[in-house]
Amino acid sequence: MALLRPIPAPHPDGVEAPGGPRRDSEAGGGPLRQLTAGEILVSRGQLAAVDLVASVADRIMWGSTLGEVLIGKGLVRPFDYYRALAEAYGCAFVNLHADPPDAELLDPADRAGYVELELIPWRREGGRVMIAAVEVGEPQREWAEKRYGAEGYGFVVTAPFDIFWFLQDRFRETDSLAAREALYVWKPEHSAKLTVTPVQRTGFLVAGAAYLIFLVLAPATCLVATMAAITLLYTFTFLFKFLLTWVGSSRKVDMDIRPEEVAALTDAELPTYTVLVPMYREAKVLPLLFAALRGLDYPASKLEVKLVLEEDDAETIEAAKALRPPGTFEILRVPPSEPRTKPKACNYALFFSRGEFVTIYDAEDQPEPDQLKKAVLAFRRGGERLACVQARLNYFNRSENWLTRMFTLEYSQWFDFLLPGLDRLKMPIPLGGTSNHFRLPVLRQVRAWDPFNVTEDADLGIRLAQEGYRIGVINSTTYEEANGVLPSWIKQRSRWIKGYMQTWLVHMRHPVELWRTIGPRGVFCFHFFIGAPPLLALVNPIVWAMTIGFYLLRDTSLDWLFPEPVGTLATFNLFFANLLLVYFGIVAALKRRYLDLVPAGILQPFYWILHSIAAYKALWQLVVKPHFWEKTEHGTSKVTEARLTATEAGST
Amino acid sequence: MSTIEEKVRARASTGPAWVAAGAVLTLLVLAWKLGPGGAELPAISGPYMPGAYDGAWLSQMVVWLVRRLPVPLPAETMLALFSALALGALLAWLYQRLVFNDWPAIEALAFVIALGANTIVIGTITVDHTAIPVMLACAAIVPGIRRLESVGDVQAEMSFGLVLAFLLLAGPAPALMIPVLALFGALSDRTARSDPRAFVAMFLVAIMPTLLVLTGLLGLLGIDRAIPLFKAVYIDPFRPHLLYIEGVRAFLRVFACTVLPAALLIAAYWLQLDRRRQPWSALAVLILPIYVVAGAYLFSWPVAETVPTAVFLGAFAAWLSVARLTPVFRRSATVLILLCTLASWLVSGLAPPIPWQKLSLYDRHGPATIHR
Repeated sequence: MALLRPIPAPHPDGVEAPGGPRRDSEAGGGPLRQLTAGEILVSRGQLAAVDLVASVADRIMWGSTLGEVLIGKGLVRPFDYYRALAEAYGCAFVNLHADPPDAELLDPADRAGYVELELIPWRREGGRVMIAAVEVGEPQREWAEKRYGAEGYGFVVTAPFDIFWFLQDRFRETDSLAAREALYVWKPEHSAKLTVTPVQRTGFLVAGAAYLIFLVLAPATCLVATMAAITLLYTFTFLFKFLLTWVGSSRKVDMDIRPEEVAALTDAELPTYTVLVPMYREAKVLPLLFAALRGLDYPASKLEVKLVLEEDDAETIEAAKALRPPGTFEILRVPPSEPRTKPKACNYALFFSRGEFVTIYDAEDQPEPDQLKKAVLAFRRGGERLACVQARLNYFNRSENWLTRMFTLEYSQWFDFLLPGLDRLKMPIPLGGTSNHFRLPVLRQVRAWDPFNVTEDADLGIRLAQEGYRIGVINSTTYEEANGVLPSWIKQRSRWIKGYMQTWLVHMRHPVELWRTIGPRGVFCFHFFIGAPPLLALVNPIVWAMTIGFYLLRDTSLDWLFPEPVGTLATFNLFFANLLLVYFGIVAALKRRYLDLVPAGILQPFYWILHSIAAYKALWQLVVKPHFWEKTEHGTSKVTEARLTATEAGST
Repeated sequence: MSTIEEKVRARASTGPAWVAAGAVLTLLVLAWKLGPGGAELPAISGPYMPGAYDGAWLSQMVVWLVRRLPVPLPAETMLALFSALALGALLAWLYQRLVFNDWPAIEALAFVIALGANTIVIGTITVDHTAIPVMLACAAIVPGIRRLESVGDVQAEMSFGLVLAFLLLAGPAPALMIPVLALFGALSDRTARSDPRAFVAMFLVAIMPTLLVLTGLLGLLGIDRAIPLFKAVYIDPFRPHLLYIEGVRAFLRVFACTVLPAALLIAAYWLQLDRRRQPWSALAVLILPIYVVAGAYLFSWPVAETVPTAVFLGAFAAWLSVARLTPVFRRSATVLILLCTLASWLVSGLAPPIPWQKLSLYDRHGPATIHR
C-alpha cells in the first residue's frame, strides 16, 4: 500500500523526510499521537499531568481530539500544542509567519478545502509538495493524494491560526470582494446594491404621475380613496398583529425544546459550532462578551468563536488580544472597503468558518447558556429544510429609563409573540439582528447576508423562504443592552426602518416570483409585516394631526374624508386597534414577568411618535445614503457598567 | 390511521359539515312550514347604537348587513338563512369539540341534536334576539375560566380579558360580573396571590380589554351621546324592581324544567374525587343562570324568563366543549339534555302547527310582559 508509509525521523532541516507520516490506523490512530503530544507537553512543564488526565476523559465525553480539548479549555497555547504534536508525529513544525508558504502553490479553487481541513500547500521540497497541516489524518491524506499523487506530497505540522492568518493575507482582496459582491453576482435582483431598479423607478414615476392626475381631476374622490386605502391598511396590519399575538401567546410555542431534551444531549454528539461576533469600536464591552461566551453550555473544543473586527479598529483588536482569549477564539480582521456594514464583515468571516452551524452575537449579548444546544436540537427536529432558528431577544437593562422600558415592551412583543406567531403559521420570518443560528452550508448556498442591506437579517429571512427553506423560533433568550439614549435610539431605529424599506423594494422587483416562491400567505406576511410598518410610521403623524384636530379642536372640516363605512373603520382603528396594541405590549411584559413594565405599557403611544421621527430620517437616508450603516453605540448603560465592574472584579 | 388522535381528527373533519347541514335544513324547513311570520325582522331601536338598549345589537348588526347584501332575496329570508347558518355552525363546532374530547360520534351527534332541538335554543337564535349576546357571552366565560384553570398561559389570560370585554357588550346583567371575574382572573395566578405587584398586573390584563371597549365606545359615540347611553344601558337596569310573583314563577318554572336535570350532572362532577377536574368552570355553569334569575328578580334587567335557561344551555354546551368526561358522565349529559329538551316542548303543551316564536315558554316581548 503506497499510502502506508513508515513514520520517519524528523528531518534535520525541519522538513519531514520523504514518505510523510504513516497512517493513523497503522500507528494506533491520531488519538495516540495526540496523547504523546500531551505527554511531551507534560514533560516540558507546559501542562499539568492531572490536567492531561482530565482532558483525556473530556476528549472521550466531548468527542473531540485531545488537542481541541486542551486548547478549548485554555490549558495550553495552540503554538505549544502543535509543536508537541509535530514531535509526536515525528515531523517538523513550521511557523508560517517565519516561514511563509510558497504563494505559487496555492490554488484559489481549493480555498474552501484549506479552511475545512486546516491545511495549506507549504513548499516544494525534493520534488514533493510539503503540506502544512494542523492534523494528519485520513481526510488530509485523501485531499493531498488527489492533488499530488501517492508519492507527491509530505506533511509538516503548523498551528491553525497560522493557516488562517496566511489565508487571510493571501486571499485578502478576493475574499473582501466576494464578501461584498457574491450575492449581487449570483442574484442581482436580490441585492440592495441598487435601491430601486430602473424598472421600479419608472413604475414609481408612472404611479406618482397617475396619482397626481387623479388628484387634480377629482381631488375629493382621490383623497377619500387615499384615506380609505390607508384606513384599510391600518385595519389589516392590526388584524394581522392581533392574529400573530394570539397565536404566539400560546404556551405551546414555549415548549419547543424542553429542558429534559437538552439534558439528554451528550457532548460527543454535538457538532462544531461557529460563533461570529462582529464588532466595531467596542473594546469596552469585550470582557462581558468573553464571560458570556465562556458561560455557554457547549464543549469548548467544539466552539469556534470568531471575533470579526475591522482591520483599522486597532483599539478593539488590541483589547481583545489583551484579554488573552482561549485558543478557540480567533480574531478576524476585515479589510476596509465600502460598504462598511456588519453583513459584509460576517460574509467575510464565513470564509474561515468550519462549524456545522453558525450563529451571530453582538458584542454586548448575553445568550442563555443552553442556547446552542437548543438550536442543535431544533435543527435535528426540523429536518433539512430548516435553515435557521432564531432565538428570542430581550434586554437586561429594561428598567433603566423610559426608553429602555418601551424598547423592552416592544422587543418582548416582537420576539415572544409576533415571531413565534409567524413560526406557527408557517410564514416567512424576518430575522432579528443577532442570535440567529444557521446551517452553514445553506447560508453559503444563498450567499449569506446582503452587505448592501442595512437590515440584512430581515432580508435573509425572506430570501431563505424564497429558496424553499424554513425558519424556526426557539425558546431561548439572548439578553442585550437596550438603547436608552434618544439620539442613539433614533439612529438605530432609522437604520432598521430604512432596512425594511430596502427589503420591501428588493423583493418587490419581481412580485410574481415572490408570490410563486413564498405563496399567498408569505406575500401577505411580507407586505403587512415588512412593508406596512415603515409606511404607517410615515403616515401616523398626518393621521394623529387629523385626530387632534377633530377631537381636541372640534374641527370637523375634514370629516368628508371619511364617509361611511370608512369613518367607522377609522374610529375602530383609532380606539380599538391602537389600544389593543398597547394591551399586547402589556401582556408581553406579563409573559416575561416584567411586572414593573405593566403600568408603563400604557405610555406606548408616545413611543410610537419616536418611530415616526425615525421613519422620516430613514426615508431621507434611503434616498441620499441607502447603504450607510448607522452604528449603534453599546456599553452606554449603567447596568452594563455595573456588570463590567463585576466581571473585572471577578477576573482579578 | 395510526394514532387515536388522527382517528379523532378524521371523524371530526366530516361530522361537523353533516351536523351543520342538518341543522340548517331543519331550521329552513321549519321556517318555510311556519309561514311568513317565521322570520321577522326586528325593528331598529334607538337613535344610535341600535339594539344597545334591549341587547339586540348583534341581530341589528345582522339586519344592517343583510339589507346591504346584493342578493335577490327578501331581508327576512336572508335573516332566517343567517340564523339557521349561525346555529348550524355553532352546533357543528360543538360536535367537533365533543368528538375531539373523546365522545363517540354517535353520542356527540345525539347530544348536538338534542341541544339544537330545544325550543329555547331555537327561539333564542331565531326570535328572541335580545338574549343572544347574553347567551354567547356567558357561554364564552366557561372556556375562559377553564383555560385559566388548566393552562394558565398568557393566551388564557388574554382570552379571559377579551371575554370580559364581551360581557360588557352583552348587557347590564353580564357587565356586573366583570369586576368579580377580573378579580378571579387575577387571583387565578399563584404569584398574584402573594405579590401585590403581580396582582395589579394580572388584574390590569384582565380588566383592560373592557376599559378599551369602553374608551372605544366613548370615542365612537362622543361623550355627549355616550354618557346618556351608558346610563340607560348600564345604570338604569339596576334600579331595585322586585318582580311580581307571577314573573318569579315564570322564571322558576322554566328554570326547574330545563336547568335542574342537567345541573345534577355538574354537581356530580364537582363532587367527584378526581385531581384533574377543573371545578371553577363547572361551577360557573351552575352559577351563571342562578345569577341571571336572581338579578332579574331584584333589578329591572331587560331579560325574558327564557334567558336563564338559554344562559345555562350555552354555558353547559361550552363546558362540554372543553371538559374531558368519563363515558358515564358523557352519556348522562346526553340523557339529561334530552330531558331538558323534552321539558322545553312538553311544559308548554305545544302542538306542531304553532309557529315556534309563539311557543309559550318564551315571549319575544318578554321583558315587557314580566315587568308589567
